[in-house]
Amino acid sequence: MAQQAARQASRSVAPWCGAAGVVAALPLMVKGSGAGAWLLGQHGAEAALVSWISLLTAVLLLVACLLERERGLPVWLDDPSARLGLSLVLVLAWVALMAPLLATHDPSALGASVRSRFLPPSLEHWMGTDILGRDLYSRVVFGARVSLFIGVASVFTSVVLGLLVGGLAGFTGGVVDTVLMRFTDLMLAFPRLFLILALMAFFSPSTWLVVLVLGTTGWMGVARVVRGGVLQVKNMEFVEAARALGLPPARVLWRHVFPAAMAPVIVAATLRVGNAILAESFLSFLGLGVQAPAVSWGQLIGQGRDTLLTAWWISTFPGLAITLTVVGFNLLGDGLRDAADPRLIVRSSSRP
Amino acid sequence: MLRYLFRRILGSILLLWGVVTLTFVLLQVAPGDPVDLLVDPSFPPEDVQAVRDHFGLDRPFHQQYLSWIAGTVHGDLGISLRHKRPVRDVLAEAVPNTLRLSVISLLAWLVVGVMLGVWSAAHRGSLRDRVVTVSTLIVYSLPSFWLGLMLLLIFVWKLHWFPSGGMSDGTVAELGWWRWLLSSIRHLVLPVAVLGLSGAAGLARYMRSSMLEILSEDYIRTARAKGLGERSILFKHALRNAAIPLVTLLGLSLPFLLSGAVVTEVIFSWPGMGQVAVQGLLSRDYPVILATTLLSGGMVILGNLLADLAYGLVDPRIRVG
Repeated sequence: MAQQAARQASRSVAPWCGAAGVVAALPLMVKGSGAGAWLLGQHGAEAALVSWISLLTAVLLLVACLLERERGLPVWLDDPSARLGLSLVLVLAWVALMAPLLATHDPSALGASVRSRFLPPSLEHWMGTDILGRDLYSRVVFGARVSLFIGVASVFTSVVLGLLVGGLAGFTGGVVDTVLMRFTDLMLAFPRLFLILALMAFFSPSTWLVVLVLGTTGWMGVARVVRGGVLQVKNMEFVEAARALGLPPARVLWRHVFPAAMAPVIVAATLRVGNAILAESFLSFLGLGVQAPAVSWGQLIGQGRDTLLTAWWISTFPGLAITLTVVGFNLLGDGLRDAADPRLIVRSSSRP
Repeated sequence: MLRYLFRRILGSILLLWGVVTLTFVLLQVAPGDPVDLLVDPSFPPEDVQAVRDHFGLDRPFHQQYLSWIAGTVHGDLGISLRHKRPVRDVLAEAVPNTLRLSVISLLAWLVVGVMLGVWSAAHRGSLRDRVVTVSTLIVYSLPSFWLGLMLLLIFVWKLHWFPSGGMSDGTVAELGWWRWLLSSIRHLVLPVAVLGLSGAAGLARYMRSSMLEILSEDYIRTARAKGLGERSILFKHALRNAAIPLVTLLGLSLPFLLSGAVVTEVIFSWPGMGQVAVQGLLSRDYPVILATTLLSGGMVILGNLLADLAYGLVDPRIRVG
């Protein structure tokens, strides 16, 4: 009985969103008594904006916790690794958003003198400094913005394209289906890394081009999954009912077919974000991706490559950041996949 | 079956044609001119024009396209703009180098991946399982170029155990057979580790979940009830069925043999296909780009075809008439 109560308690949403509230406030809390100055905008408008976001999010989360004490965690979060994955992803997203508060230095400020170059990690520079004396920790924190943005935005692009192509092919059928799926096969037959490198090498590289190229070369898997899902769902009775009511096809597809076929897409998309971040980091490492003054983790690794022996920290820390992020997205994706697998849902929903 | 085979082969050829045609169009549309990268800008315009004429870069699109297709069908892939040699010769040197690296890595990741996956599934929930699960997840999530750099830093520059790049310290003639072999193996260790580890980690994760699924089947319970030994259940009953999707996986990793090593080759300056392709892209070496696309696209298509055919052989339920 006591055990049961303990299990119940561990599933309550309250401790989790309480912790989330504290984490949300942390970027501001570490400023201590200086927090007021940040909120009042003495460190710039962007810093003030994120300070307020930090404060308000924390307050909202804590209030929500108190009001919704009785609510339990969603079923799929019963799995500890899914919880860890979600936490990692949320924390990293928060780091990216809160970069101005969390950075200890201006990420692009050059070192005061030649002597501030290549400083090893210390209390002043947590991850050391680079070839120009810039603070690596602050650069890694700001790099999170670009790397996460590219990861999420490029996968979003592929999902939209995949939904369009797969949905159209599965829903219309006939010649449209054949043509679209042959085109998908064609795109799949390209060696993807070559294609990405080619596109990046031919056009002038930028953050948006990376998103575009990763997005337009990654939709084929999604399209296939969507088409399969749509084919499975489109002849079910509820879709027929929607059609019989005279709804336009686009609405039937969007409101009735997609939601039913969406689960595997969400899983695949989450797992792809990790891959997209890896791809972006390799491109930027080669100098074909994100260009200065923008900062990305792969670019930082590339900058440390030539001085690896004398200044190991420059390449090491951004690599750890990438690994941590990709681990987070992979764990989250695995958790979502297990939740989407009906065979597993039966097992985990048999609660006491 | 024969008709199916014929249709699939025809479809594959059409697909390959589509891939190279699309690449050709892409190269034409892309901004920039390969000659600008090839010729010193201070050269007089007549000379630049001469280079252009020499490589036939001034001909209209359809002429370039048709002559390339005609050449390719006859096994002539053109002259590399960068190497000033037939592309066929450039590739003939690079492909065996890449194969040496990728075949060994593929074997390594197959053996390590399957063993780890089976082992951790057999000990499900134990500490061993958890260690394997966590470490494979981490290795799977590592950027492989960064892993390569870290290995270089630790094992080459700090510990001086291995050479930093290249394939060997000299040729067989220079070193003698035995020392050449030793040197080649020393050069192979780190690239194979990078390529093999990331593949093995992914495969181990896959094998673990597919083994777990099969180990919960009724016929495994039957085998246990019959009193069969755990080893025989694992390897004879479970692994054989869990390995069926491996056939597809192997087919799909066929292109990996030629183009999967790009990242590793760049980090360890391995003179293979990946390096040729990347340098070709960077210097707009059109014939090289087309040839590498043709080759690796061909591998993708062939891999898919073989995977589909082999799947029918291994699992009679999905044989196509």
